[in-house]
Amino acid sequence: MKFDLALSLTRPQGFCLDVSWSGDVDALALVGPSGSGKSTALGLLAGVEKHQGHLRLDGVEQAGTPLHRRRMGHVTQDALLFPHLTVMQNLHYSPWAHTLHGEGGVKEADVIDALHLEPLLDRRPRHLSGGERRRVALGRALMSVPRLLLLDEPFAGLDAQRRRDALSVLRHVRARFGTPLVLVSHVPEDIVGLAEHALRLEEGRLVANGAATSVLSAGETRVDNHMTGRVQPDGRVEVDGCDLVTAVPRGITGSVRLACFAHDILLATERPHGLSARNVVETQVTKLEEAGDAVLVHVARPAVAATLTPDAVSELSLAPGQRVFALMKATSISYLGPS
Amino acid sequence: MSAVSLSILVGLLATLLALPPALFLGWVLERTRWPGRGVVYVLVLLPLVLPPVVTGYLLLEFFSPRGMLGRQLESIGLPVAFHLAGAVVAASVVGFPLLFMLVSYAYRSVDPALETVSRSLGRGGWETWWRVTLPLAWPGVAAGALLAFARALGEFGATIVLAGHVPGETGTIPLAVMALMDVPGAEQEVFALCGVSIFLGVLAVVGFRALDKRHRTRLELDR
Amino acid sequence: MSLDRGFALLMNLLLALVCLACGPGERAAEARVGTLSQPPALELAAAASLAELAQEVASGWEARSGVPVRVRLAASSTLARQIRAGSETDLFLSASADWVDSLDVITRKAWLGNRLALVAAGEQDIMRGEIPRHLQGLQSLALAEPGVPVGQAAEAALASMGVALPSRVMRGAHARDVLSKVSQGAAPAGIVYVTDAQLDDGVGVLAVLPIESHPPIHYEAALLRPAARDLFDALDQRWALDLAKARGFLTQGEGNP
Repeated sequence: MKFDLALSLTRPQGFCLDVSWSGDVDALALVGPSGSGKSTALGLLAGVEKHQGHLRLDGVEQAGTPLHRRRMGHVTQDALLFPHLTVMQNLHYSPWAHTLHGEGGVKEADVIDALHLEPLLDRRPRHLSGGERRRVALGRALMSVPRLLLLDEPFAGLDAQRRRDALSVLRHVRARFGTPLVLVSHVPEDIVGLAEHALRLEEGRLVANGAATSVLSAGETRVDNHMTGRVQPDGRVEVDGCDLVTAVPRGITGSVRLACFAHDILLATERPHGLSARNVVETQVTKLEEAGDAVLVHVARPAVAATLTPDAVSELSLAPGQRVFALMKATSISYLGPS
Repeated sequence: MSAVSLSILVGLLATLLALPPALFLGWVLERTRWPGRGVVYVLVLLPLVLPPVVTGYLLLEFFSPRGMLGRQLESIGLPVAFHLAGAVVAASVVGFPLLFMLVSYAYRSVDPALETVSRSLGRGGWETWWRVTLPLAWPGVAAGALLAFARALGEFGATIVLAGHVPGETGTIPLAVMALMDVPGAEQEVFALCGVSIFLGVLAVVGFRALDKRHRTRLELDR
Repeated sequence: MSLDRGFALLMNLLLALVCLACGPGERAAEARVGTLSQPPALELAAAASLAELAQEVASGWEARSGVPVRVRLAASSTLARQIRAGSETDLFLSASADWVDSLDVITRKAWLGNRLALVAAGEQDIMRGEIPRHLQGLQSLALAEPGVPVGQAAEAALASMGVALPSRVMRGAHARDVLSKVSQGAAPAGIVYVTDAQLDDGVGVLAVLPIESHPPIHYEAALLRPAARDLFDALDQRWALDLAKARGFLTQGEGNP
């Protein structure tokens, strides 16, 4: 989607937002510390507040369009489910949810399946956990067949494990529905792998913008790799044509979602011997990317990235196209859930 | 018609008459900001603090067969002053501030962010009110309606002025009690009507508390 | 925000209203204490139909004796109930002997007489022809409450003329209330005292009801406390009776036994 933004807003209390940017991306992230204006900017994109400035999406100015015709899937931090409706009724709330059947767009069954909502459908929001509420809110937004999905801190308040799970679900949703999205997070690492491009805001101003990894600052390098694979009869999981030994529990079959932190992956230029790591995969470097004070080295098969220090990169003389061995401990490849 | 059933009829009609404007004005004053809002607020709450007889007198000026609106209404066959409609209008106007206040509080307790989400999901202002605001505010609105109904049952001052005492048509419980007090030997009837008033009043207040509690439960458990 | 806050606010408002309502009462009590050096005012309770006359008699007495008189007006039935309930009253001028019967009085006497008139809004010519036939054609009629003397007399008159009450009766709290209801157009006609009918320019007399159609209308004076003994006696003095005559009331020898 082509963005052309000049978001400009002055609040009576003195807060001032002034962000201009244009670009053509399908997944944009807004990062920055709390109070930097990310959520406000997202609200302006959604149209919940008037502002001076302009907002063009795919070349069309949005200012004159009333909120209920903008078709923005705005998912706020507190999920804001309708408390008097069941989960199913919440999902069906949008008038567009009733027109989507058989139109080749999003299907109700797909949304319920992708977000694992089946067991929740008859419940009322007050009987849902925080993570469940957010999944329902995302489902409700997807059901309204939005032109753009706006997600405000989709991972806030989740513990590490649930956060990983939620991130993987989002990646899955993105791959499945292909809706362009804008994502807000104060934890920059969360956006790597989900957003292509990132804008870093501080005190209402744009201070950096570029590829998602480029806006990470020193220390923000806990980048996660998400994979999907298929469990083989021998218990290994086939990911991108490689059979990996993983932490998937016994008895699980079919498609699975996995994750492995970039800093848990080692790279070697020669095949190592006498190692405890269960997975030693021969592959190729595809790309080097700066990420804060580290370097993300992307490899081809499986498509993952490893965090290395700049020293290690220069010592191994890593460059795109180079043959390397990726080393992954079985226990560092976590099982998140079925795909 | 007996004073009791007449009172209940007048109370119900008065509440029904007050409900749409209370729902509308409550929403407008809670959810929009414009200059002159304060003036409307004062006007709306005025019948609560005016002597009901004064309210009745002003209404009579307006609705009497020679009044501005009264003449028009009379010509279409709906006489208000000194008729059943007058008792309904008087009770409705005097009960309106109570209903309006409770409707406003009910609206105020609904998170405006839910309304924003509703619109963002494609429901316009009216649909959002109907599908989100009203269902969430409903128990509070019902509590207000119950209180306004109870107030209508007890209305005397404005009613005696606007509707007068026509037994069987405008002779609600308070008017009947007032007249019976001057009839020798009618103490039994007066006591009976007092008893009915207390019974209806207790019922209304208990109902109000229950609805109020339900309203809070409905909205707060979710927070 | 909970409704409880609304409820609390409401209660405060109500409390404030109650305080306001109490205010004047306390001030009145202070005023009474403040005037102790003067002779205390006499409390005169008078039937609503006597309103102007009672005021005139009170001022006349004040001029003659120097004793201030405070006049309280309402339906005789209402005043009788207030007196039974212990209201401070020295002298009671009732439109009917019946309501005096229910009170403990020092002494009492018949004072004035009155007649009933059928009135309607606007200028009216005295009706020719049969009164009952005219009454029969009315869909609605303004009468005083059945406990109020003018209401009792009117109902008795209708009964003796063989006229049934119309289905719709606009009830007035006292004679003057009936008059104003007719004047406001609440009913096409009403029955009040002749003396009332002359007071409202907006109301005309259709007919004076035959004097034999109802039991005679007696205003009674009842002395309730000794303080008003002199005023009670003065009611039959020339000046007082002249005032009554001027207002159209019947005095002794004018069909008033």
